[in-house]
Amino acid sequence: MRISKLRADLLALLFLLPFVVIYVLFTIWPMIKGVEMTFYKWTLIKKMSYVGWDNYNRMLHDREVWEAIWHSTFFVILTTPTMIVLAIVLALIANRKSRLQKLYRTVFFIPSVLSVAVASFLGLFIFQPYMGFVNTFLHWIHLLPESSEIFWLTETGLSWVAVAVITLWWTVGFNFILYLSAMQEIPDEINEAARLDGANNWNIFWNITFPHLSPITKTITMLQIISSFKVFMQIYIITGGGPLDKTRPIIQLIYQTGFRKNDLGYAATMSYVVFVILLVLSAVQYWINNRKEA
Amino acid sequence: MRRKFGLILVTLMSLALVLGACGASNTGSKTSDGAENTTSAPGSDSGSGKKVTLSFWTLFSGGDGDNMQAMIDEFNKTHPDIQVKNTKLEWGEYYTKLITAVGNGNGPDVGISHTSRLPDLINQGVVSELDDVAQAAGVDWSSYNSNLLNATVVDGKHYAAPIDTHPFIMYYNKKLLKDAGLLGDDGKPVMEQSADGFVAFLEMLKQKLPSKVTPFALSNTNDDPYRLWWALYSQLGGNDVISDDLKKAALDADKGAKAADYIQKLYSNGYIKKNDPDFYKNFQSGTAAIMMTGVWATGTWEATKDLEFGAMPIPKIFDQAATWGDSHTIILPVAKKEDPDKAKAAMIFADWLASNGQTWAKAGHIPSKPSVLEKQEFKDLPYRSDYASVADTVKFNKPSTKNWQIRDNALFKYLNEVWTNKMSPADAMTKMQDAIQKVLDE
Amino acid sequence: MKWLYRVISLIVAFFFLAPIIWMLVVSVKEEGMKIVSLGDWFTPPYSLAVYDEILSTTKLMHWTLNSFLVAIFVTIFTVAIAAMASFAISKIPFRYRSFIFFFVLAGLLIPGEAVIIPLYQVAKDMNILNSYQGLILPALASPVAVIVLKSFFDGVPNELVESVQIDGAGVWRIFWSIMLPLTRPALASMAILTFIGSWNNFLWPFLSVTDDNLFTLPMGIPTLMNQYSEDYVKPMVINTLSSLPILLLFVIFERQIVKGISMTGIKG
Repeated sequence: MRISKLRADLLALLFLLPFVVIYVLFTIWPMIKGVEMTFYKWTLIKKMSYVGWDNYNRMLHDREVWEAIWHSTFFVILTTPTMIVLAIVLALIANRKSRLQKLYRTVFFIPSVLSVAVASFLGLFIFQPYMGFVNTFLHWIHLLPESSEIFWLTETGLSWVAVAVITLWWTVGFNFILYLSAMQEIPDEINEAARLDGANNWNIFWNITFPHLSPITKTITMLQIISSFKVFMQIYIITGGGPLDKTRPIIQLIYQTGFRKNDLGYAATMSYVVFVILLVLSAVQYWINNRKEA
Repeated sequence: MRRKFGLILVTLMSLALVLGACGASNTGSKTSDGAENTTSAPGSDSGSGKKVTLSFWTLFSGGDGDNMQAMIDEFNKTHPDIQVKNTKLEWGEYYTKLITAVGNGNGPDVGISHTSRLPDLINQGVVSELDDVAQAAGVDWSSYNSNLLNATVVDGKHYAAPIDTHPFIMYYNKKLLKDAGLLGDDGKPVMEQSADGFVAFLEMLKQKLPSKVTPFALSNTNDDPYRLWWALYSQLGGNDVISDDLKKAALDADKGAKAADYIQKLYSNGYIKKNDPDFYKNFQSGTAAIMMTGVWATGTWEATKDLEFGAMPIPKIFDQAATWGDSHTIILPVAKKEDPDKAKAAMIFADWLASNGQTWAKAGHIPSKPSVLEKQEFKDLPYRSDYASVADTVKFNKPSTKNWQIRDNALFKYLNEVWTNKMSPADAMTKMQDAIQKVLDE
Repeated sequence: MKWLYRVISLIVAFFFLAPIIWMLVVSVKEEGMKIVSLGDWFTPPYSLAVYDEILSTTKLMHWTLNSFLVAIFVTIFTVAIAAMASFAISKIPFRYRSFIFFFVLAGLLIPGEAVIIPLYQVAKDMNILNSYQGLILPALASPVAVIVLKSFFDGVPNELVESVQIDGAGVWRIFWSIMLPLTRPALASMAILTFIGSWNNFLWPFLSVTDDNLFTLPMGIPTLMNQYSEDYVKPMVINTLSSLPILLLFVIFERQIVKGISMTGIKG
């Protein structure tokens, strides 16, 4: 754009102002304010007393914190690969030419528009023993004997399964769409040419489709890792973090420390650990992406 | 034209920013004092025409919620100059919301606190002292049950008006007990009040009743089994889980383990339905022979068609009669700006709730004023008299600021593991002792 | 082979729909029914009594409205200020341009969850807790939106901009009548994603709002789910009622939504 220097600066200021003001007030400033908070005993009511590095020391020796971080990490490990596989499978289904093609697309995406509270409560009731959908369904197809029940929500292992299944069901839609559109970019001629050369469906998927999906897979993987690490509400509603806090993610611990135990200073300190972890993850992502391009 | 639109856009956005940055100071509290009042002169009494609107936060749901609403409606009708607006909050988040709201100046005018939670709220500066305002409102403290009242007094100052006691009691389904041949002619269960006697009673129920019937409806986690544990622990002579100076974990591990072991066996012997997702409904729909919970369930059972039930104290399983219990009190949360008129109106309301405990008793609670127990309306209520005496055997928490944190982070957590047989009672006691100390040290 | 493919597809689709169908069916059952087997859920008697009760005794519809209001405001302002900012970064040659760009880029690394505790304190100091402003304002600055939109603005050739300028168009006009129309699909997809994000936002409203007149759905719904007396009908009615509006919107805008997601995915 041709424009005088001064005018450019003024105009840019005008255009940037709304964003920058809000950005500084609600993202940058809290980030700085948070550092202050970590050095204080700070309650919901007011700032109490300066405690130096106490909050940090306490955190280093607080098993609950590290366990919660592990739980969030575990959730990442549990949901990221499954999410990608499921999203690809769904995209393959919906990418096939058939009369139901459009229907599949709608069906796979519908759960994604539900509110997180709805999805979580639906999950809670679906996995309830005795009357819940899953157990009654398993009884109905005789996979589970009439007289026995699976207690999805009170066994640590099973409650992870329940939370992961609900999360996949609820959020796979976005990734599914991304894969679907990536698949649809592959020109039909390529597939047809391959078929003429005698390739079967499996060859086509493995040698043509899959390589084509790899850039989007990289993006999805990183986004998924970060968003899974921030899991909170599904677990909070479905298991409450139990049994024995064994499914409690770090964000829930931060909430409980800050608002239930009324200890904002310590909660802020934990937040910075989350920040550092996510920072490292993002840095890794940046590094991987740039290395490949070079 | 287009250009103009752009300018409007910018103006709008700057406006929104300004609004957000400084104009918001009042909007938050709009519901708490949304009415015409606030500037009336102190001392203006009923009939002066000035209306005081009080926001009241409650944590009651179900039958409790309905009865509280009925009382509020009644109060509003009989006190034209005071209007109380009820906001029902979710139990699990109530205290968090109360503390945060008071902290940022959006608290209600009147609130509820359990006696066990009161020390924490006082310590955090959430509740205000009541002595002056009580005097202005003409409250006669001596009309309250002194036990309950004393628990709300700290350093000689009143902080709350108790409206009830709600002990943990036992309910039984008369029809099912009769089917099992365990209902006496007096309509009460035939049971020997001892450790073996109660188990034998449950065993009989299990054998005599169809397999679809649960002998004992009880939650598998958190509150109710914890309350039962607390009752038995106290029956064995246990005296809270912290020392008298409130600084040290003082769980009596032997007694605690004995009580936990007894309850664990009730689960593992199949008297209690495993992971019963809805133990209330189980009893309510007549598919459970007995159940234990707080007295607040009485009102719900009464409202249930075709449910013939009885209520009684928890059996004396060990040495001395004792049970878990707590008490609801009315508090006046600290306000940003003190308003003597509001405070006085709130105090009048609190005292009125206590004085009209016969209505609150419909929910099942035991009123906090001895005079209410003498009222004919109270005496006419069935069941309540069967358990009103329990109030004297309630083992309350010591006045620690950490009661709820101990309960949530130390007791529930490990006891839940015991109920599912994943931890031995003795191990759990060791872990609980450590966890209690950790909470106390934090 | 083909039929196997088809059967598997249908089964997968069934499992995706089943929870929602179950929710709808349970919501029209009578309260207090005995459920022993799966079939019991799907047999009469049906009743809409609970719908009546929920609609007349709870603030569910009010909260739905709040959710919509907040989401609409957040969407409009987020996209508007992000578009303005990214236009400046992309097309106005001002000093410190690259500094500003990195300043915004850094925001991508700050997850909302990590600053939520200090944000609470900041909002408290600003006196906007427990208000619509408090719900909306902190959500408006989205670095992601700026970065994505910038990449779309970058795609508009500078020559085009300059040729319009020669015709005498001011900067505002370039922004308003050239850039915005040219990037409409990107703006729309950003808007849709922002809307869905706001619709689902839980943590911040949960912490910042105490007045139930200001609740949005994600925080209102849990308050209705009573922890005792867990009848299935009420929760499912609540779930259904709070999902209907957004499901309806989805049906209407499905094509745009799908397009929107695939676009941002490619750029992001």
